[in-house]
Amino acid sequence: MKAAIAGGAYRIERQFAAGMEPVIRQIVRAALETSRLSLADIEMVVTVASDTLDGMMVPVRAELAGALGKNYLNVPSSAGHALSAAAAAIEAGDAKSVLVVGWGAASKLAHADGRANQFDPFYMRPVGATPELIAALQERVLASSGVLTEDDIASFEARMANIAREDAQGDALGAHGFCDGVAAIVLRRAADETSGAIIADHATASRSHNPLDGSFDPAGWVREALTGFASARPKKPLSQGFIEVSGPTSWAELRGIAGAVEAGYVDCSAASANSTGGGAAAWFGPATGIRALARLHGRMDRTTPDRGLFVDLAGPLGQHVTGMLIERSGA
Amino acid sequence: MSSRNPVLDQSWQPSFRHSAGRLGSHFIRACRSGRLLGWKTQRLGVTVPPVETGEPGEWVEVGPGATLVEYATARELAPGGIEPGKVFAAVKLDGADSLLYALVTCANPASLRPGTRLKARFASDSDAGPFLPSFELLAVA
Amino acid sequence: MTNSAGNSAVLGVAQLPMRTRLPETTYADLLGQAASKAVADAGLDLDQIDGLLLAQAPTTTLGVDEPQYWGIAGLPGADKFLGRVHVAAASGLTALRLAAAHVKSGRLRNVLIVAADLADEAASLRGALGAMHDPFTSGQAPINAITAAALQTSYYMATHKASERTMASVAVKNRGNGALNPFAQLRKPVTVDEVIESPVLSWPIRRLDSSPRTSGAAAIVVGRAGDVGPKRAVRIAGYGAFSGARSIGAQMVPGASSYLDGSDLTEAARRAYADADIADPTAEIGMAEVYASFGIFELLSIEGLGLCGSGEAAPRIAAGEFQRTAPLPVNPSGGATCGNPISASGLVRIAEAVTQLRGEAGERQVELKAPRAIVTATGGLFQTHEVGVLEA
Repeated sequence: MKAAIAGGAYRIERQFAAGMEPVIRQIVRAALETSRLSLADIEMVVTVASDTLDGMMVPVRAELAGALGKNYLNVPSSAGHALSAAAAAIEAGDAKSVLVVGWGAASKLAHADGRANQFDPFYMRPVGATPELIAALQERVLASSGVLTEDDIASFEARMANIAREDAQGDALGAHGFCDGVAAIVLRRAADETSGAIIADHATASRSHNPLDGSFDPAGWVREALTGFASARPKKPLSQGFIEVSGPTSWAELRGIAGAVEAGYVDCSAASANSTGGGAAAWFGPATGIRALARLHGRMDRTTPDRGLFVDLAGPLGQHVTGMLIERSGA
Repeated sequence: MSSRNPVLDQSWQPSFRHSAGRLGSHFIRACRSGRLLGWKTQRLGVTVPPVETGEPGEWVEVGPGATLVEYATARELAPGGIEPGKVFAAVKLDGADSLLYALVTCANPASLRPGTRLKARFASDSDAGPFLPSFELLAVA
Repeated sequence: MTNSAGNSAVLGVAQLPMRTRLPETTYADLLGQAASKAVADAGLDLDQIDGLLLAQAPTTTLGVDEPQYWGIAGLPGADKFLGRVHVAAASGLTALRLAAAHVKSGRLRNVLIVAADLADEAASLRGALGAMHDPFTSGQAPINAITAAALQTSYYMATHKASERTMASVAVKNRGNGALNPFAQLRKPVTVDEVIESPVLSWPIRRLDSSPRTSGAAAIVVGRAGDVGPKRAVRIAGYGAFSGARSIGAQMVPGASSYLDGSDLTEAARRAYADADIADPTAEIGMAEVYASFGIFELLSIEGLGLCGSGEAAPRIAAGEFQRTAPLPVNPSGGATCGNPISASGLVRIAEAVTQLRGEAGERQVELKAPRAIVTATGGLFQTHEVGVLEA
């Protein structure tokens, strides 16, 4: 019993003037409306949000996300992990409908970026490790090995920034794409959803932020994740498809796109990938990928390819990968 | 009474005291005495710093030579960032299977290349100050 | 919805001895040790693990955000990480539910769940846990886990006319059980007098009624029942959950008093029993491991699980029921009273129940009148409830 995307909503701004809570409630309502469901129809809620950014434990105020009285999960490690958990619950028959809600006020990081806390206190913090530094190291590895140039990155970044600005009602977002954001997706059993996009398959791959095999290229990790799909890779790419990669940096996204193309599930040029703007240009924490998926779903029309890949890359290197194969209903 | 909504500014910096554990302590003490050790297990090979897998393992000497994998400079330095004259790098110690993130002393980072040979330089034996070695370029013979 | 757990089962369990301090191990070391033991207990090879979940809640006690970025590096299944689950102290059981879903969907075969906590590295555990309080409401009052439990306890005592001596029977029972448990942190029995004479933390909660600061770790492997040898797999027969995550003040008013009377937990239990096809828990359940960082949680749990009527749990424990030699033992491990590594506590309940159902509990083995155990975990300030039914 597969899961299908029934609806979604999102909002990003450089900074939410009235704080996070009213936006969370608004986006939950909006996502339910686009799904033509009420909160009472929802059997399970999954949240993705960081205690640190919130300044409060997320699970103790899950009522904000509509969780009261329901099955509840908080999977703060990434949008992909949360979406995968929701899909698994439907596939397992645990729930007929799941609301996935994520949020984050990454605008706070522009004032004080405490993310060095993500690194172990013995070996990495003492050498000054920050997410930005290890990501910069990754960029150099990719450039040195010839798979990316500065020009590739610059032109991609410009394209993504334009799309992100469009989503932020024309506002430029903060440095590193830091912004405030809320995004929600509703999943239902595919059998119950008449006009949706089915999550035909999903799988993960991961590395430590000091990858033990010395690999720094997300293309390899994405290919590895997609080998975990239950459905076999087609002998040749089945059709023109979409590829959407949400990641922490533009180079991680570019390499994620390359890996998704190389995996051979859909045919898609790098230039037409990431119509949603990805995640690096509008980053609000681990939930960032939900916005890309919500935007993708919200804009699906007759011209959207029947099949595509959504990939979430989480962590400073994009080292936690979730890949989803999405097929349009009736495809 | 102000008509603005009440706001509460909060920030907190809790303090922590972390124990390095049995494996970590052995590694750190070795560093303080000028030796680099790797923890060898069947599943992961030689890891530096040691990674506990729950399997039996043994200590092996690694370094002091190393090869630069890559280095980084941030576009803007984070507060309290890297010491001037040093860069943040990933290095592969001779004999290790995993990479180590480390500081490399280098006045001219542009001269660094993947594959540049390095050697570990240990801090003086002292409880204060860094225990991890920083690396410097090996003089070309 | 019945038997939602399908054929998913707990194949392997492990826990490490709980202590106040574990200076010999870092957080990552603890995970590594617990993980390899659980996989060995399941009789699997390390590379048979095709999914890994980390239960960690919260991270403020660790001093490391996003602990999955470094802590899971050496674990089996690290390359197939499925996510970090954080529902405060309920994390272990919500992770169980998620792992079971991955197995039931047919997508994965053997999912490893690990959790660890180091309670002694933060300068103030209470401060680190303080992040659970809404700064505008409960954060303004002197509410913390202890004072919140004190509110529940004094309400219970007033409503059911229970004396301090009667209420102390929970701690006495659990500390007696813990004395036989090699994994327990506290292994000395206590008397009723010792409990009611111990320092007051927030009346009526006294130190000996409250769980200690604990460092520890646990891990379990979830897979298909048929995949391991007979008697090793313990089936997940049913599951129920209820998220009551809202201000506790909103749950202490007439008509909405679940914080005081445990009605949210009762609903979670009802869902679990419906799922597991259990009509009469007192007859069909052999034992229970319930999460109780304070005695009141255990009392409300026993009543909420339908094992006795409202207000009866304390006097019945005092009279000898629910003890390890009674027909339906509750917390034969000693429970969280004897050790409470918060992230791992849910997994410890599962590990203990599975060990009992397998008949491998040694000195602390109880006689089971039915081959079924309940495990519970509670997240936040008694807000979110998870109830699982395990069957040998």
